[in-house]
Amino acid sequence: MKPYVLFCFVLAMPAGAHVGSPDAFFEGDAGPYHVFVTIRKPPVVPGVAVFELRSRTGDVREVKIALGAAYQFDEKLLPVPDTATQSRPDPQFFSCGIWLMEDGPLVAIIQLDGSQGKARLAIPFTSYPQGTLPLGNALGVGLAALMLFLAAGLVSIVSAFVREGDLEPGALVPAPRMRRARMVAAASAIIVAALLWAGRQWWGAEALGHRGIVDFFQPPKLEAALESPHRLVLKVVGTHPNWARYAKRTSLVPDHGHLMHLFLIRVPSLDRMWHLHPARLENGDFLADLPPVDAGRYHLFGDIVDRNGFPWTAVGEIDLAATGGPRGSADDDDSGWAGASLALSAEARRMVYPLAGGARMVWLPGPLRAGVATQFRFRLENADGSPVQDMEPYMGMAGHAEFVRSDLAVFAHIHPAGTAPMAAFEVVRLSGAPQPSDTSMPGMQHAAMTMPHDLLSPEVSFPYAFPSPGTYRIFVQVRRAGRVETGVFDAAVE
Amino acid sequence: MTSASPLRAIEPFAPAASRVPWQLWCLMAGITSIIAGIYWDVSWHMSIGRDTFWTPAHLAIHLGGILGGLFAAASILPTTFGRGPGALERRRVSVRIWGFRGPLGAFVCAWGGIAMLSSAPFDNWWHNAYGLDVKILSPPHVLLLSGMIAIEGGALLSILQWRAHSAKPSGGASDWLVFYAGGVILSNILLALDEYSQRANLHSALPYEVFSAALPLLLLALGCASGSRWGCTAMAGVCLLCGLAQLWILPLFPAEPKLGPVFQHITHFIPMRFPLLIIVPAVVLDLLRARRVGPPSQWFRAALLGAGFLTALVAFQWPFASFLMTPAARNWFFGSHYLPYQFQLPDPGFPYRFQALDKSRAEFWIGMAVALCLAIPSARIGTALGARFARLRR
Repeated sequence: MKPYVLFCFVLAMPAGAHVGSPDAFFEGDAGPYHVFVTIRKPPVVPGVAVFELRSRTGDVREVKIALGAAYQFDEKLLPVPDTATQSRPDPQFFSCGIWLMEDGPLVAIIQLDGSQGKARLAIPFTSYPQGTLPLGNALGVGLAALMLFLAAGLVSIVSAFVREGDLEPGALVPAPRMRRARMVAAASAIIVAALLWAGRQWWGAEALGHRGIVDFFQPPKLEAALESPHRLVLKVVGTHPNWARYAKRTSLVPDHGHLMHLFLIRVPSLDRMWHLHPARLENGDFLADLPPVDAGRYHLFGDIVDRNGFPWTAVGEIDLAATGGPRGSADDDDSGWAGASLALSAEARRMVYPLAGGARMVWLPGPLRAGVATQFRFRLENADGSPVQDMEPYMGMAGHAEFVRSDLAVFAHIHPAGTAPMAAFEVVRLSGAPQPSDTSMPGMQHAAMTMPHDLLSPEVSFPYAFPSPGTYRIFVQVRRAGRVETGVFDAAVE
Repeated sequence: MTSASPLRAIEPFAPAASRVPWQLWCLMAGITSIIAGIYWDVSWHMSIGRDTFWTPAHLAIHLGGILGGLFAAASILPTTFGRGPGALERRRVSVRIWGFRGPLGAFVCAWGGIAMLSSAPFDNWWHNAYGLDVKILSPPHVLLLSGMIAIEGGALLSILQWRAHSAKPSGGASDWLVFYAGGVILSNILLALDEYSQRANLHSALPYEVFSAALPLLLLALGCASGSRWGCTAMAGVCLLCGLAQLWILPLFPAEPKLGPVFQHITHFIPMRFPLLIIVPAVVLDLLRARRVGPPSQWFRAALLGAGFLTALVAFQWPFASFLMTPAARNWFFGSHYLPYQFQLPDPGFPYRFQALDKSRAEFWIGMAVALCLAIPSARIGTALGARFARLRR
């Protein structure tokens, strides 16, 4: 894809577990190799995705990548893999363009070969069109000119056929024949014009069909209504009519033990955040017991994963009055945060966030440029600077991070393993992807089984890249001694 | 100048040599390259998938375009700008378009070459705007197909024009070249209509409506142009042979998918399905147009031809489609078992079941009535066009 294409693309806010953040990231172990994988998605499907892999262990010689369906893995059905190109100045960096031919949940099977033998890795990711390239003026004029030229040529050929086609050699065109040829030319011009019009209508219908696919993958709406001051009823509604039919056929699977991860973020200051886990009602809606929230307008992001392993983020808004008192049924995994408003100035990058009991969360420096994939690393320290010793898994993970742009057009819920929800890894595993214990697949490591760090490590990292410039707020959530702690960091991204 | 000059008209004209000129052989090679390239390309997308401009199939198609363009240039430029008696002779059997002179077929080839060229930026933009169009019928592909069919049509007109001035105007190689070019055009059109001729739909009205609109026109235009009593049959025979050749030859070569996800295990090239049996209605058309029955009304003849075409097609294709669904057709000869790598089956029996496109029996019969109504004007236009092509001199 040429760079100019990316710039002039009419990008929608794509879905896929995140909003406005289409690329996929993974960090983890493939056998003896520790790798960081970035999947830069094409704006349209079928289109070419760029896979980038960096080995942290420094001894990978060859990387091959093949794609399969996430929910229907079959070793025999893997295509011939593409071999990634090894960077000469940076030999542990590999890249490769691969066609994404299908919309939906896919799995990348990455094969590595190096000094420590062969290894494989299965990474689930999503594929969907994000928008449509508008026809540029220059190209549009050029194509129109060519069409006119061809149309005029066709009319002239038909006219010449009628005028001279059956004349004997050397015979001149009789006058009546000339008149007839002109009439036929006029009639052909009308027919050609009608054909061009029909072609334009067809083009419009094709574009509309494509628009429908783009709309299908837009974030569904999260329609929220208060059943009582403490109870929020949520309905997930697709933006395209086919979404409802799809949702009817497709059940949801739990991610970290919950069917929905609901984030309430107060706008516009992003100074309140709740991470709740609503229960599913029989009619398919969700019911959230609200904690004591402060009054205000809240933006809602509801993460769900369907049984094919495709993650969706439903988006909505609701005005809430202040609620107090005990909740109807609290979930141990629910958490919340209240603090200062988002700092919009570029100098406001806060590197240290104070936690309870004098501890603090420290953001270890990294690049802050849009599109640059990196590890977002956070270390938890006691007041004396020593690493904390009471870290516990939070919903099975070392941590959860939410990246939110100030205008809420970007929302990404990231784990230490990357952008794919654990439920998607589980769908891949259940679909038959080989497991580490499977001796017929030496070196195969399933990504769901790997964590970049020990869960009790005081340091947690998240592989990600800001998709676009702007001011972001990052919520980093960990559990310490049974209590969820949230560190909040602001960043101005160029 | 619009009036005929009796002096010029009676000047003697030297007939062309009886041997087919090498330029026409090049053009024949070009249209062969095009049709082989299309079959190969469709098969490539069903078997390998990974696509670049430089696949052999694409190169074959564009080689055909280049040969067509070169033929056009080699015919038009010397006729327009040449000096001497040779150029004068050529000008006397040429048509004039936009100040250029040349045989009509050469202009059609030139149009085809430009259309093929024009489709390239259009197709490239389409891929960037909407994604790779992995189907035969999309606006840029139709432009490309129009270009290819124009080159094939230009080839047919060029042979007809050469034959009209040949010392040996009928029989031998020239007739077979006419049949061959006509058969290639038919093959290309059927390929373009492939999405309507899926086996699963052949017990519905829609495919017969589409075939009735397009095929009587084509068969009669080409068959009448050939000047042969069995012109339709011969061209449909060539078309059948092209379809069978790709069905039997392509699976001889190994291929495996290079794109995922893969839903069908592929070890060899997957060909297109068994060709449509248009040879049967073609025979019926040849028999009917040879007989002078009924009143001399052209529309009555067209009604007879249209009805004959549709009846013969349905009578043979309907039961043959049923046969293709049976296990007896799942072999190399009939090829019903070939499935593209990306074909995701709802259940194993899916490829061998008819999908009813008509919601009711009444809708089906209305559709078949529409097919008959389309076949008649199609036959009328085809007959008229064929008669004009048969008189082509320039």
